[in-house]
Amino acid sequence: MSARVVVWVLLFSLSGTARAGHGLINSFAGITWLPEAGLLPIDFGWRVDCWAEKFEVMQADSAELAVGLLHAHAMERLAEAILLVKQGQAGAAGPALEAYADLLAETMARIDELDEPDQTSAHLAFAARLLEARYIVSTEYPDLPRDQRKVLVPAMEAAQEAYQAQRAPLSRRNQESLFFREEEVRWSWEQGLAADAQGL
Amino acid sequence: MKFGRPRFSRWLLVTGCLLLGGCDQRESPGSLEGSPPGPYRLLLELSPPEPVPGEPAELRFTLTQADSGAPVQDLQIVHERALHTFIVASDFTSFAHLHQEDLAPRPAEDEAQGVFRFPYVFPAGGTYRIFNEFTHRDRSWVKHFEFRTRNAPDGPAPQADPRPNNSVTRDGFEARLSTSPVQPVAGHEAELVLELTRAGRPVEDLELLLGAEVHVAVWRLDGAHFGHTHSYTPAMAAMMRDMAAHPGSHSAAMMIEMMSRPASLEYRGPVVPIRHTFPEPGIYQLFLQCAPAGVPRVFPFKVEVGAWREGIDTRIESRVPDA
Repeated sequence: MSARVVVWVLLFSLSGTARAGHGLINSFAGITWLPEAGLLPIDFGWRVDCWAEKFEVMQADSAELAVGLLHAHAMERLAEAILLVKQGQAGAAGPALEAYADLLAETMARIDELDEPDQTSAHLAFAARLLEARYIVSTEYPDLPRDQRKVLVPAMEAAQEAYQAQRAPLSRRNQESLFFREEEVRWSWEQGLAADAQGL
Repeated sequence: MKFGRPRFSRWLLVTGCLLLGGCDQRESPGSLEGSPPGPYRLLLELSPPEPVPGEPAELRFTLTQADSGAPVQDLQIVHERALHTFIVASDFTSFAHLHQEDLAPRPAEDEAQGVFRFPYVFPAGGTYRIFNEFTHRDRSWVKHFEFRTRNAPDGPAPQADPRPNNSVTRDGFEARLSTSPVQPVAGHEAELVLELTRAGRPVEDLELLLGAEVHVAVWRLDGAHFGHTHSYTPAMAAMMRDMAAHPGSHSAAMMIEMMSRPASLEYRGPVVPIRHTFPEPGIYQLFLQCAPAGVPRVFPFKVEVGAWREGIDTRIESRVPDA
């Protein structure tokens, strides 16, 4: 394993326990949850915080570091959006969700600029992170206020599109290694959408 | 590794806390909060707060909803227990897999408060890790803790011997562990096969232990990547095959149901297959628990897991009947 691949593994290793398990029922049992939401889009200073983050990415001295930062920022935007939905302020979550989608796009663009074998490692790692993000949101979703939560659906669709884009270039064996996690996420998200359909 | 970086909003928060006289986020003495955070909060209260090696300590866990603080009262029973607790020394020289119900039925007041408690004797002074596994609303969760007992040696926690071993002799049994592929590959499922003999004769009197022929607790030697898996039965293999053939046709609820129903004995020995996906490369510690003649035994192994690379063989030559 090259030193650069090790760096990818470390950058994307969010948790000491994440992704443990045999794939039968607990692919996400030890998953690292969303970070605490700090400033919200409705707060003074949120945009400054975002600019500071962009500057931080610009200052990153390697593509690996930049991708890790972009992913961390994306998870922070998601945490902010979910907190606003919990607070009944879904209408204010728009900037955070737009920023989330933008950060996913920027992460993918950075990964596409990498050389092999780093690019494959990054595709695989980012695909796994996107599954985790969708699992987290789908787990929270049924407990969120039902008149507020639908604002999260486009973000989950963006995450799913990004996931497909990361998965597509992987070898068949690597795609198969994601299968049971995909199924768990699919089931989990179906539970959320079923809650909407049933008005729960 | 977490993405650690200063954040503007946190600088504001820290500055605000300093101006207001400081934020104390410590739990009460002897009380620890399980990691990672998430929709549930698990508190561990140790009594005494710093357990004394060789003397009984009480472990009291309280499980609540993180948002509301409401106790979680309706955990699902998986493998015959609601909360599975694994306790290991940081160098993996001791191991325990415990449940409150091992000692007595849970009192109604404990169920109402989301409390689980039982005694444990820490065998030696040192750093210990506790991992708790539970299932709620068809989703499985893990919370872990790390702490030191009284008389723990100063300095960093001792690390385990990193040399892999695929055989162990203990209590008159010889246990061998083989893997397919020969070296498991991170991120790809592997089959582990336990083969058990006693005085050179195959063991064929395995009984079920908490609804499975074998329980396996797994950690990488740095304490990361905990996993808990079991013997891989023909029924499980059939479900996995069906899932792969018909994506979208199965649910996690169906899998939980399979793990929760009364088990039937599929493997009497000497060979028991197990499946596990090691998430990252490294040396992993495994504790295999089984019950020859109904008596629980533990067999420790270490397995080296390689990194995936293009062209590496991840195929499994399975020992599961009809797999």
